[in-house]
Amino acid sequence: MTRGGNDDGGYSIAYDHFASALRLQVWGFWPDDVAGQFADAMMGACQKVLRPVVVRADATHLKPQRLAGQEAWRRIFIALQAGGLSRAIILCPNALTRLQLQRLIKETDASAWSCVTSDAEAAVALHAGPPREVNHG
Amino acid sequence: MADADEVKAAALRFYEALGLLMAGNLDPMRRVWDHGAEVSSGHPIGEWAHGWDEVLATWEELAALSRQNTAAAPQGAPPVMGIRIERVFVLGDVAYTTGVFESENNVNGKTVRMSLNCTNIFRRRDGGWKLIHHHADKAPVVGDILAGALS
Repeated sequence: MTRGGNDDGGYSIAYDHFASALRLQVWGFWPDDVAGQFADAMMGACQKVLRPVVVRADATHLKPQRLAGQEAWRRIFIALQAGGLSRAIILCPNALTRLQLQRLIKETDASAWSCVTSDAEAAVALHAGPPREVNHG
Repeated sequence: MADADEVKAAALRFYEALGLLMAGNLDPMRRVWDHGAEVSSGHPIGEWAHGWDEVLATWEELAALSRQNTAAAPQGAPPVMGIRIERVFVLGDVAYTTGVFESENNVNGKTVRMSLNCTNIFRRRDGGWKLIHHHADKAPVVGDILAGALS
């Protein structure tokens, strides 16, 4: 597991071999350096896992981010959308944070990503329809 | 001008700044706030923000969402907003106001009217009053309004 930041704002990234999924936890408000570390760590984690990649993110306690945090998400959305992401679900009951993530998803055309507000919705979203086709080359 | 009048004027400036923020101009909102670590805000959607960086992040996001909505529907009817300041209390260098924020928005073709109780706390600093806390009632419909261009 990779972990960064602190209790006020941070992230953890783990690979679930059984589910073939990256499990991501993000919380709080990120200082600029933590935001950059998060993006780098996520990119690194994605390079080490099997394709296609499934991401399950728990953003229950994530707050709206300033520019550095938004840029970190943008980097991740763009890179994973282009590089083998099958499906990504972000659990985010905080409405303002969810709107921010949805806005960034829209701005980056990261259609494999979706935000949900409950575990039940996440389960449905993860198993709804075939995964997005990916280029395995 | 009496302290209470100054505080009421500061509160009205905040709501004027809110209207300008919804039109895409964040600068007046920055000016009405104290920028310290001991500020906080709670909006109709979302959770508490503590400290200026977190508070500013929420205003920046509300401005970004408003810009996106305006870009998506430039001919749409602008929201109608108003504030009624009920009371002003001055306690030395700290003061607070209670009020009712009212607005009328178009959501998916329907007119949605809101009436939210609001509290604003100010601190006297450098001869003026700066906002250190803002709280409005929860109103999930605000999320629907702001999500307009995202759906």
